[in-house]
Amino acid sequence: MILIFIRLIIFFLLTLVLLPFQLIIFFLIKKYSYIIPYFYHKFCCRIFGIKIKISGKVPVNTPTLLISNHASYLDIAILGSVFQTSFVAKKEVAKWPLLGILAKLQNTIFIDRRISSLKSQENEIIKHLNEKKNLVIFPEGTSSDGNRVLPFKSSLFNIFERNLNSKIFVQTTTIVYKKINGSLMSHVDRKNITWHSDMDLIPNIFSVLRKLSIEIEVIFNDKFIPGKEYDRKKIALYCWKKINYNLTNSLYRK
Amino acid sequence: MCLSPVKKSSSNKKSWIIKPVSSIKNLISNSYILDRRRIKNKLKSVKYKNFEVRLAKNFKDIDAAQNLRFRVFYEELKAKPTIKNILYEKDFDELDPFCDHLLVIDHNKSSTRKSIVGTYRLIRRPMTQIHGKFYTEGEFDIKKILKKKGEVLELGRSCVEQNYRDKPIIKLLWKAISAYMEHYKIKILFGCASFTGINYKKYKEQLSYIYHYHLAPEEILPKALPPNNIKLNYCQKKDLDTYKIFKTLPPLLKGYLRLGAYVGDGAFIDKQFNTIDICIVLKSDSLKKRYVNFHKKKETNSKIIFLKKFLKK
Repeated sequence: MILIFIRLIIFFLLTLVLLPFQLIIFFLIKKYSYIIPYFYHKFCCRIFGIKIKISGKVPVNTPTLLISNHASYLDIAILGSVFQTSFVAKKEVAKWPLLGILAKLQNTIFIDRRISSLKSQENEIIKHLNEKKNLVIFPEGTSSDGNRVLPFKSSLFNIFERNLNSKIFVQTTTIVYKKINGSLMSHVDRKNITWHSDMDLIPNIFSVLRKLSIEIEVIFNDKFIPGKEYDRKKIALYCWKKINYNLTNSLYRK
Repeated sequence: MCLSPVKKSSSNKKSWIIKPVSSIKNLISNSYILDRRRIKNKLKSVKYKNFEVRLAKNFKDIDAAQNLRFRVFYEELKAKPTIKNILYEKDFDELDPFCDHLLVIDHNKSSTRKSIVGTYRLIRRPMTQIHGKFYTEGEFDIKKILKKKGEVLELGRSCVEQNYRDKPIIKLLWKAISAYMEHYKIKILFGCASFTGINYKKYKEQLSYIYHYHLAPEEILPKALPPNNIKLNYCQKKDLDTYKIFKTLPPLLKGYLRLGAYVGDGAFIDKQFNTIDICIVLKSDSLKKRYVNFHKKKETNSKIIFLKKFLKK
């Protein structure tokens, strides 16, 4: 109980201290607005006892579109602490208390599922990538329970079909929830830690904070530029296969 | 294997991972399904308040039952799942497509997957013609039972959802089973009941109690198969405090014994399911007697209470 309390206090203090600085930078010099969130995510991982193991090449210089599986709100802190990036989120997130503001401050692109607004959203994503910044999308649409990868929704992959001239680097990443307090997780543990389907947020946060350490593996595959001959569904399936292979390989095969 | 969604022709060995959704449809011939549908329409469902007990009608029902079994066996009772079990969130085996699944449905819940709160798996002789074996045959030698004339019924994979254990779900299931038995004129019931955990030293007293007091007669005695079998008689009959031990038995086994069930010789240690299994044999005529006696007792009891009340006045 004390552990949870201390962790929460440090977390709120950290956000309160860094928030005004980020606000100033965000409105004055947008170029450098990626630096504070990067270190903020690193601190958050420290506070929550998340240890990250990285395998594969981390995207540093060239702007890439990262495609990842999604299991929990922790994913954002994890990926955010590995490299400087911003995210694509659903529109409801903008209205959440505190998290909505934090999301806006790290240049999150909010989307909704209506067809009418699809075009402007795509333009926004391409504009973001042209500014030479990384972007992470979670094409599952919702979060899974960490034991599996849900089928991908291919609507966002439309970018590749429409903009054949501008070359976009794509990289798949897999987030694997592996160990808890130093020992391997069982599938039930994973289900309790991740935040999926219709779970309540607050009890889930408490159950995560109660754990001393959570070890996570982040696997990066090689970069590729999707060719002209592939349509969005094929690219989505290709990415899904890669991520699913990584996940099942690292969880269930020894 | 039971669920192999991808055709064998593909060269990649790990190809089963690729397809996210599985189906058991392709395993069964259509004629078999139609044949069973005709039978199922004859059987009436049992209803009680917002609960309904009926047989599974389609693959959605079977899927939901398997999902419930996964939640109870693998998430609650700590059985060891295979990769497929986790990915599909199901407990399944080769027999499932051919069995009758008895379901308890809570009509207050909306989605089909969550509305099923209890299941029982029923297997009769004709269902084993395709697969070739009863489930119990993998653990016990039950040739003596199968030689007997008349229809036999295997019960298994029974489970009730956690929040519903204080409600009379098992009673409802047994009502439905007795209707099922009458329809098919079943003579002998058998199946497995289990202790949780594979440490049999914990259960020495219980095991020897059921050996001394409930062993089946020689003509229908099942025997546990090696190599995972253990004997039952650890203690002598004098040392057992029957009343105390009966209280500590697992609830399902207690229920069977109350109905007049016999147990087989030896127990089988199931490492995958993390249980010690015991074979149970029930003769339907003894079951009927018990059932009738039970109700008679109730009636007499109520009469006595009524008399007492009357005298007090």
